[in-house]
Amino acid sequence: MKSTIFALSACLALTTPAWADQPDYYPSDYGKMVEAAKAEGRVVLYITLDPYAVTPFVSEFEAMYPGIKVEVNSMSSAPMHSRFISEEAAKGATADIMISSGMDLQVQLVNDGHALAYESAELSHIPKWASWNNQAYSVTIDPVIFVYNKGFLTPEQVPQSYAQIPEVLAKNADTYRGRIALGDVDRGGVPLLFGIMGSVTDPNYWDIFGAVGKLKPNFIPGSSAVIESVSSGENILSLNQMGAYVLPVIEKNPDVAMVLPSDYTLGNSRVMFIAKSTPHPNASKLFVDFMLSKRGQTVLMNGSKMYPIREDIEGPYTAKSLMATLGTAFRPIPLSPELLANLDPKRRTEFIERWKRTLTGKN
Amino acid sequence: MFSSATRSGIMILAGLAMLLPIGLIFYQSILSEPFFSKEAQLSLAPFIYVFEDPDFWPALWNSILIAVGTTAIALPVGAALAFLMARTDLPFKRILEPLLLLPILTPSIVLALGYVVAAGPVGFYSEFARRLFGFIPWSIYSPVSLFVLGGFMHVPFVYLYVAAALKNLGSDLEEAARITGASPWRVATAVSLPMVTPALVYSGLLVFFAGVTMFGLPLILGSSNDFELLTVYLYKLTNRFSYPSYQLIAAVAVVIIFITMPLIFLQRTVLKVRQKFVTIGGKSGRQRLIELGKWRWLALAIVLAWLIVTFIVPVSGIVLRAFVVRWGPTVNLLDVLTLEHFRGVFAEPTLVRAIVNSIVIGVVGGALAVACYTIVGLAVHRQQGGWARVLDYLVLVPNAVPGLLIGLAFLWVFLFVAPLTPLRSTPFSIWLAYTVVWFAYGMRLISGALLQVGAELEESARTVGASRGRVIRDIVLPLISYGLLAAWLLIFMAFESEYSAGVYLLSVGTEVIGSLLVVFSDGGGGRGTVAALSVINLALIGVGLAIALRWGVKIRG
Repeated sequence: MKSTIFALSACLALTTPAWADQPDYYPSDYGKMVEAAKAEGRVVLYITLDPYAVTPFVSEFEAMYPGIKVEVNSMSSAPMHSRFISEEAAKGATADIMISSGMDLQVQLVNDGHALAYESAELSHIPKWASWNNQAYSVTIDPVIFVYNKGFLTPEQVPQSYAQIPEVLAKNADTYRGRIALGDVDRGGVPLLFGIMGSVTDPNYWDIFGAVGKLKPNFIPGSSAVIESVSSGENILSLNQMGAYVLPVIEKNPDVAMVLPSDYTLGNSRVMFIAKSTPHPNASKLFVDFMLSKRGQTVLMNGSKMYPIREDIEGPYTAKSLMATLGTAFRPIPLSPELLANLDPKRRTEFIERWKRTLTGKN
Repeated sequence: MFSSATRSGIMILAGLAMLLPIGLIFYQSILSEPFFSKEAQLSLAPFIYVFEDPDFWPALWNSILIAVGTTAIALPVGAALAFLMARTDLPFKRILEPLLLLPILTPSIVLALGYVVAAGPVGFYSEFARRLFGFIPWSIYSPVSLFVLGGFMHVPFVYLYVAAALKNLGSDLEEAARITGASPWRVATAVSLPMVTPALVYSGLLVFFAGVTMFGLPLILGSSNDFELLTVYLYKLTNRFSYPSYQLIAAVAVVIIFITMPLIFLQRTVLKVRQKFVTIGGKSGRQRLIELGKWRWLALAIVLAWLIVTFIVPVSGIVLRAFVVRWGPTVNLLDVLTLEHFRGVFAEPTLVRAIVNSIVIGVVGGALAVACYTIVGLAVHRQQGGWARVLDYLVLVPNAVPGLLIGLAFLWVFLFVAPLTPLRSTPFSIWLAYTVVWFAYGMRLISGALLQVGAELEESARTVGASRGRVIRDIVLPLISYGLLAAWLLIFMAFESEYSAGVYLLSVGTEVIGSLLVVFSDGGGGRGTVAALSVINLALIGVGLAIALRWGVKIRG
């Protein structure tokens, strides 16, 4: 299917001018931007996704706009943030486009003036919550979910909401003891973000995680390590994982399953912005529009196994399907300067301290 | 061996390569902000923050503890191994010799990932043990495992240096001891090992450094919250502040350097005292092997047990992971065999480029690195004091800083040192970082080869009127060519096993397998890919080893 789309779009690209592919609501002079972008010839992408997930939409983009090469740099969110700031300070070559699941870090960079404002041609076709100030855009949204291993748990042993956790865990204490995996908030920005947002959203947050702490959870840095450990049965349940990282594992291991917590499911965006310093503004704008377009978002869903944000895309794993399933329990983390409060070192340190006390019973 | 002007030039270049990144770290540690920030001022605040942080002291203490523990395990085991290999009639020595190096030629992050699959709570050896004993007699996530595995992994460092030293010594004293009735054990402890104290001290120092900067093992296995190491603490510092808190990270690095530097001086002092007693130098007659008699097979069993725990177990784990879709106690592995991870790797241009880059960095970069080490080695050859002494200290400094940080410092160098900026996204940046990180190791290889060349040969050539260049070209280089070849192979394997120094330099064009392994194990990427990349990495190292064996290169320090 993917290759058909690919071949098809390659043919289209050969036979018709590229801008003819654009939706009719794009500005009439969009073709000029395409030409200018082609003259620039490339766009440099820093992204917190591994190459497998990146290749599908990058190939699609390159097929759509022959002559524009996307240079992909995959890295994790903290080094990406450090690197970008260092490179900007040195006025060295850096990213044209930054896409990271470290929402708060991205918002900080935008807030500090590192982003180029661009009103995407797709702006009116994406949800309101998916853009901020014409500077930052949400490209995909991950539900923050529970993941568990069916090989070791019966359906009634699995909590379906945060509120159920204390009771279900207490009833099955022997099953769960020492076999719950948690992302380490002390070592990872994303687990910390989910923790802080959870504590803001849920008045019972600390009681719930206190119940988890009684069962000697394991703190594991890195999503892939956590999910692998649940898949192998080393651990049997993990809380607060990103849905898109779990989907490909479910495909390979039918024992792995996820729960969308029914009381509230946070939604974490991969946030995209164009670097203000970009030497390739037109190609970058083109890329942003593409990522938000129906075509780009469809490839994100089918090829990259990500949850697209657009509401006109049908599929089991989309922002729309999450809204339909969860209703108001779906809580996208707002793409707004409110997130900056999370970055206050004092607030972070206090949260980390309390989290450690709660989950290890120690100071 | 060069004119003094040339020599100074070489020294300054080598010194710069070492001092630029280290100097930047020092400078950064006494600033209030990242050094490139406009608000940065001279300040001791970073040190004050770190010293007042209650998390810092346990981490520091644990890191010292683990370094001491690692050394305490690696030194005796490595020394015993060296003695067995160099001085006794241990069976299958020829086959064993290259195998003994495998644990340091394998990225420790790969070993750590392998342990999870092989010996973790649901690992396949663990399941076997559970069926046998009813429980699993070990836990890979406990601090004890960090000590034991960390110690075992660094055994080859000690073995390399001590075996090389033993082979350069005559065995007449040992024979005398045997004849007067000493047991092999007594010969080893009372005669052989005291003679190679310099090698023991030096390798012990390297292992201690490796312990302090240990990264791969605690990253994967150090999930215990009760036992945090400095390298993990560094992670936490970056996480606690959203704006890069480089000044704090640098301060911690400086603390590490200050702890380790006195050891280098201590080492020199020990060696100076020692040298007065060592009466046997140079080469003496033939070496005779001590017969182990009935202990032969026991000794072999112990060596094999070490190799199994340190290499076979984790590598079998990672290899298995590369070929299965999933694993665990509920999975029949035969049902889930697959080649998809490898197909995936080879279908992905970035990963293919990483493999190609890794080979190029190892083969071409390795050769260039050896050329650099040789030039520096020739410059300090037969030089006493002054520059040579300074360089001796200097080459060790990068070993005292965690590899990730050295990589970060090199990112700064390539960003802010104008003539270098165009080279940042080329393999040159990775090459330079690797060459500096492995400088001490490489210099040791070269100086070992150079010491084999008798001074009289060089002197006679000079006497009959050969120029300095001529002596190098016609006497020294031909004589050490074999040693250079061996060095090239060893550096190739070292570069293939390096994984942390290139992470911050990662960009299009500088991907190497090692850096990608770190990025993948940090993010959401599938473990199958990581395992397949690891296996490919192992295969590259294996090819190097096979060539080494084919050419009969003696793999020694």
